[in-house]
Amino acid sequence: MADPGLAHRTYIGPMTPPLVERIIAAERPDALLPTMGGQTALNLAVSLAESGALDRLGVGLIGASLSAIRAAEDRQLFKQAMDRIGLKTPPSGIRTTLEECLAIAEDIGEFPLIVRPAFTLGGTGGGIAYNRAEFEDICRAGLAASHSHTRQVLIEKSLLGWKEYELEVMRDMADNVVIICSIENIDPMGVHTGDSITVAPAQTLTDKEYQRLRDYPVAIIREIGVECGGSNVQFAVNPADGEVMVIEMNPRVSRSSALASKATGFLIAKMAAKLSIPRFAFEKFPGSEPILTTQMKSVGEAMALGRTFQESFHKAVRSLETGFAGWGCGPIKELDWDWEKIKYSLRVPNPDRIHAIYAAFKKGMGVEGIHEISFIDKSFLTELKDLVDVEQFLMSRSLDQLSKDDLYQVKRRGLATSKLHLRLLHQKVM
Amino acid sequence: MAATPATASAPSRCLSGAKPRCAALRSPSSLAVAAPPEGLRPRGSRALSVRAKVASGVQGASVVDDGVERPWKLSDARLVLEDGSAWKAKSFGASGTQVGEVVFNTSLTGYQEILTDPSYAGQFVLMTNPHIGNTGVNPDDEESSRCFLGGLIIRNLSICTSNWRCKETLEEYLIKRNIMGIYDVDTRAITRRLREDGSLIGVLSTDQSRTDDELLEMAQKWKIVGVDLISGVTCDAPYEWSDKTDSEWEFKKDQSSETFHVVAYDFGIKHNIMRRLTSYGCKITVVPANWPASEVLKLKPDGVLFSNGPGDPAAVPYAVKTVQEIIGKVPVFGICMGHQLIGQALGGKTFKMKFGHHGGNHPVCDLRSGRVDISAQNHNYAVDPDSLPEGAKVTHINLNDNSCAGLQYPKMKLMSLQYHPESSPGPHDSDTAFGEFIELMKSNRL
Repeated sequence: MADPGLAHRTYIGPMTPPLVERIIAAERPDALLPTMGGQTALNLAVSLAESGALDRLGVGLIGASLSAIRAAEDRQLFKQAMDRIGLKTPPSGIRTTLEECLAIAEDIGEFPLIVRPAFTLGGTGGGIAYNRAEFEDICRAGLAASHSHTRQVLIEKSLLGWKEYELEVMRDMADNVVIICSIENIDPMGVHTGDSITVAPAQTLTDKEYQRLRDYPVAIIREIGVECGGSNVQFAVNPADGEVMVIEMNPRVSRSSALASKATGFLIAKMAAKLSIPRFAFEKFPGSEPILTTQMKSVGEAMALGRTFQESFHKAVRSLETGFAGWGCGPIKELDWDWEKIKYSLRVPNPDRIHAIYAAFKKGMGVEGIHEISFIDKSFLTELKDLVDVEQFLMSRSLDQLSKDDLYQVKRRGLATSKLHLRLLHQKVM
Repeated sequence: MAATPATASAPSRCLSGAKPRCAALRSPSSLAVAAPPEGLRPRGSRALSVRAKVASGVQGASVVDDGVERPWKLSDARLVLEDGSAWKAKSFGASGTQVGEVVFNTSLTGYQEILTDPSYAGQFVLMTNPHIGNTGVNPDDEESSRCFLGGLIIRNLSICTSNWRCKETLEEYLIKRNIMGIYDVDTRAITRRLREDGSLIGVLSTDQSRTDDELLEMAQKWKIVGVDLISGVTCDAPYEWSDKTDSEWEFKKDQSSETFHVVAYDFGIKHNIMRRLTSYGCKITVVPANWPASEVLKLKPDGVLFSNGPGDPAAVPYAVKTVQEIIGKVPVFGICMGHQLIGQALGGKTFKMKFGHHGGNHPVCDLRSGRVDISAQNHNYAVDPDSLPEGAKVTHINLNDNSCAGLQYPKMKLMSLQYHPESSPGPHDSDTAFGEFIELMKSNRL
């Protein structure tokens, strides 16, 4: 981003409003492009705009205006904007008495509900209520725990177990809008999208559902008013009936953009920078080559391209540089765990959950069982189960019993040669 | 008549096996023959895990058949292309032998809509998206009452389905519809070949008794250019259509107050064209491809739609004649095949493209506004804009190759698009074209 080809001068220093203001005063640029530097850049731009520094120095905001950034970042403003274009957001409300809490629970209509007391650290006094009795208890505790001056709780419909999708959208000054990429999170709602393993393109949407989802970011980017540049919109989809809710929108180039850019070959960051000049040389889409990727945040992130989900998955796990030659190929401590511990690791999302899944399969748990605990879509689990079956097949064969086709089938599923070696060595046949 | 999905017993049309093959026999080709037979196994059960039978002494066999159960199915099908290449594959869906033209489609979603799009009659659709079958098949995503395509070629058949609307698996569906499908083929390699050499005729077979050479000969003798495929997909008799886009999927907010009567010529019409028109306030009478223009004009419709359809527009002179008799008299909208027929009716030429456009992400520029839409496309032929008469204006171009993607002839009250504003599958960007047609009909009423 800061290479000499793009920047006339590069400054290295703390990203604080006063420092940035000094740099702007020294450099006197015409405009500030806040959508390329993640959340930090957006926050800096907002404080510089609010302090009047930008006006004083005659610097314009391009890419996203102050009002656009506010509308996207402020929960209440965003919710109102979504209401205006007829899109659903998770029903929620801030209330101060138990009666009001019950009224809003009535409005939302179904459990589970998430209760978050205001102004408490770490969500003290909050929780997930699965029925009315629990709800009353948690609300009472929450109201008691919240600060006495601001006695209130936020009540929100829980989307636990819903599928999560992200769409990367770009708009130019001529109001052309394109969707670069759809991304499906393997971990369902409840895991921060940055911590989730994701796959592109989305795997479990039919065309009607995908196109409906595609229409939304187009409407959102226009309503929020990102004039040109990229945005990332997150959705939750109910796996039972397809109901869609908008979770949030980031009016900037994000980590997902980098992923989408690599996965599709569409130069998002370059175009976002280019898009800020009021002329759009519309990049032709190459005949899109669908590529599956896996991203993991627990160690930064790893991304792999493959022809199939399985291949990408193995490659991504291998790329983590955590000592695994592939999924299930390395020291799996979970194999020595008891069921209680494994189930806990399946239920509570954590960076090692994929290893717990492996261990659960190896110990005989089925797709259904793991799905019930983890809410991970059965299609992904079935793909993973197949990998375990293939491994089982390999275990039962010696090298000279494997045909050319067998090796092809195994390699096509992304198993590393070293993984093959490991299995075969394990059997002392080499 | 409403959109009634074909019942399980509905016979599928295997156009590729019927007249086109006999239409014109090329002289025996001198092209290099294919590699020796691959020594394929007899078709086993359809389960993914197959206990294959022991076979021995087959030369060149690369699939070992040692009686061991494997977590994958063994190859049991072939695709032989007219260039002499033979591709080993695994079958799902119907078994048998089929000949057709191989085209690749770059859509990421919408395989069910593609399977039921009559425009694919006589073709094998190769999906470049490697994962197909993930969402299964449901009764709402049908684009016609049958599957008209010759076969489906995919990289990877999903081993399970995940979707709340899924009613059956893709494999079950193809078996019921008697459509051949193959998977575990290097679709990328075949796509590259198609891009370089253009569309190729191919033969899909699960029949082990036929040699590659026999299949190659079959491919080389088959012809799709100049063949009337429309007569095989059009309806038998006129009918009324009144289904809107289901409220679950409707994305247009304002509802029109006026009603327009549109006669739609069915050259292989996709249901979604009619759903979208109905959503825009049209009442539709669908007529067969050979319905006389005079009968249509007697109905005094507000407008006439010429639908999409399969094959070569030059092969259906009767349809061109019909279009000629109608244009200029009532507002007209042509989509895909309808666009090409209008081009011909105006005296223009159509030509076969190298590998056509088949996908859901083609950028199209509306030259009047400069607006760029991402569009769904599915055509192998195009109108040569230089051959059009004065007065006919190119309104849209495909930005991938600058080919003509839309026409307008204001004096004739005529508009046409080479691509699919009705989407399904594909983006909704160009849905406004239906609104334009409504405006055209409205201004004609005044």
